[in-house]
Amino acid sequence: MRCSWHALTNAVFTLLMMVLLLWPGAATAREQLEALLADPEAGAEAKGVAVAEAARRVDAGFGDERVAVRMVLHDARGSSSERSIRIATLEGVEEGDRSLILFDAPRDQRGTALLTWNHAERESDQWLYLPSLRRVKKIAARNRSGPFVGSEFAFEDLTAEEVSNYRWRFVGEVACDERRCLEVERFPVESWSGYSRQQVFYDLATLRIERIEYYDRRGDHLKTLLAGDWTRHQDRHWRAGHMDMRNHQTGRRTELIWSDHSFGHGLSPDDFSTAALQRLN
Amino acid sequence: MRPSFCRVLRRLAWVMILLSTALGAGVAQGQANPFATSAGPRTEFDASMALELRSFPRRGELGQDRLQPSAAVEFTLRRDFNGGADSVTLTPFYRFDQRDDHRRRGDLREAFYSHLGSGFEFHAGLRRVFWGQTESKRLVDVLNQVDLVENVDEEDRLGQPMLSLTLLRDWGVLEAYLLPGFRERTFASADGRLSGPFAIDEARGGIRRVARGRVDWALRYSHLIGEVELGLSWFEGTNREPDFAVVGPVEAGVPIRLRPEYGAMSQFGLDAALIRGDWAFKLEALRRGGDAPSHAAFVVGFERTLVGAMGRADLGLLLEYLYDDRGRRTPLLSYANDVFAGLRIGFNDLADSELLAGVIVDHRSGRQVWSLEGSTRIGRHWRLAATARAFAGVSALPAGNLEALLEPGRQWGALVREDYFELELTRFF
Repeated sequence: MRCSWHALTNAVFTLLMMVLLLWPGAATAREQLEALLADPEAGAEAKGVAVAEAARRVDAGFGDERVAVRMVLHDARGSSSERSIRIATLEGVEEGDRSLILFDAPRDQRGTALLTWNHAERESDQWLYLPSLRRVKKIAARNRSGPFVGSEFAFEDLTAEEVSNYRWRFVGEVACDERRCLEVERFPVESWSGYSRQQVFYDLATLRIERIEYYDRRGDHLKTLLAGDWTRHQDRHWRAGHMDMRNHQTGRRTELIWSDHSFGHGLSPDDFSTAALQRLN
Repeated sequence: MRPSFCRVLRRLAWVMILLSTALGAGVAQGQANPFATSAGPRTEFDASMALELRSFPRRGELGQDRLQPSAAVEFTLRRDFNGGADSVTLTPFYRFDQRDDHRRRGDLREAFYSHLGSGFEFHAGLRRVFWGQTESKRLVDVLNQVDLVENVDEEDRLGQPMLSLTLLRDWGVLEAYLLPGFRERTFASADGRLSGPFAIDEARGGIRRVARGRVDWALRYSHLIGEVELGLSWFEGTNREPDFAVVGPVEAGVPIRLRPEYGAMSQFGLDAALIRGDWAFKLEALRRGGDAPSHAAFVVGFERTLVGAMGRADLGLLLEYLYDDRGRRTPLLSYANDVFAGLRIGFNDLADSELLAGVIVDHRSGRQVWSLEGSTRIGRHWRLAATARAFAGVSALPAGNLEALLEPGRQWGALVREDYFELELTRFF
């Protein structure tokens, strides 16, 4: 009893300290962003980068995260197919984020797993685990622009992007549904990307991404991503419960239903190693 | 348990404790499983059931049947304790085959205990381990015996009895294996297909003790160095590739009886992969000495991935060169001086359909090994796989002189009538 009381006071104190330390800082960063966006002298590129960095900063400090995803794939003729995956992500401190994706269904793919190390300045490292062969295979990151397991999502759409992976251009404040959004255009730097540009709509209040329009390498409108069913975790991390990606060129569509978000499992970079990749089942 | 065995075990435990202490620098901090949700015991169960039909355009050398139906079941049972830190895995398997009694068998594909610690793993039991990088041949991967009756592509392997310790460090992964026994290679019976005119003794994958006075062991070090994924391995033990001795007289119309002989070998292996953009460069090389004359071999090549080259589909172009300095004495299914060219297609459709087509050509003799493997999902639980293999440019057997097959350079004659097409339908549970 004494022990838990002690823990409680400790937690309250820590929380208070964190609020005291972070609150004014966060407000200042927010004000700085707003001041920059209002400044007619500032360039569109600087503003775009500022929005991307602010959005990244708002979500920084999640540490590690686990989530379950149900994917529903619809083709143009109305057939559909489902996949179940689990994702674990480790926030990168100096390096980029690391992630593990484990396939649970369909059953013939069960146990297949994918490990990704993102890097800010060079191509990602990626390994695939094939359970029937007990084989870990390093694969070309170029695969990231292709359809991820037959869906309308490319792998590059699913990973948290590094700001330096794009050139940015701020477009303006626009209405999106009933909210105000910041519209930013971004242009992939890496040559393997499947896109020439993307229009990203950040919710003005929370800086979470509400909508992305994708344009293929020829510049034609390819896909629209809509995110909704938002929940807030640990008082600051917004996560979509539902994503809908429509391919305008093929009529195909993929829904992602996200559930069981959890944070702070104390995962370390060693949990995102090729050795760990072999022991997920 | 005999006291001497206990003593060996105790000594081994000491060696491993000392080794892990001595190599304590840079200990990894990982957990057992980043997806583990609770500390309580957890049981997982997987099962699959497959129906298989092989069809051969020609009867075998000794008149073996053209159709070979077969069915198989496999279960995987896994129980975790201590939040996944300890686990037991059992994978029983049974196949029934209408023609080949070497394919009428039960086998424990895997049966092992694992402990996943902080910076190390310990495994004991029958286990399968993969080493290597190249696509056309698994050259350095010698820990597990080839289960040739399952598939002649040498991809299926038998569980190897082992005690293994893996150290996970920031300077790489070091694996140490103690191998108290070995498995006989499986071969089709004389009634089955892909056996040529041979009847091979002791070809059922039995577990055998290592020759008296010898201890089989292996070490492997692997690490991602810059952009190069490097693996170095040393294997000291029983050669998984047998030599054959002819037993009894060779007569026309009667299978030639062969007895496999497993000698000792020491093998140094190297495997590496480098990914640059959409190019993946791969290398495997070995130097093997021991009872048989020592030899060297390598496979080197690349895979180029073209995303969206065919609409939604991904295309992989594969090219590898295979070399073995045993030349004409290189055994069947190994390649002395060959080029492999292949094409991989991932269709990225709802059914995860895929296709791999390839040919291995010996440009001197003109011998070609063609293969085509494709699969697609049907409904939610079924998968249909089709495989075709053809052995072309192989000179036919000299009539009434089957023994010529045992001469260097003639070994591929055994497969001259064994082209086949296989359909396999698997139900996953």
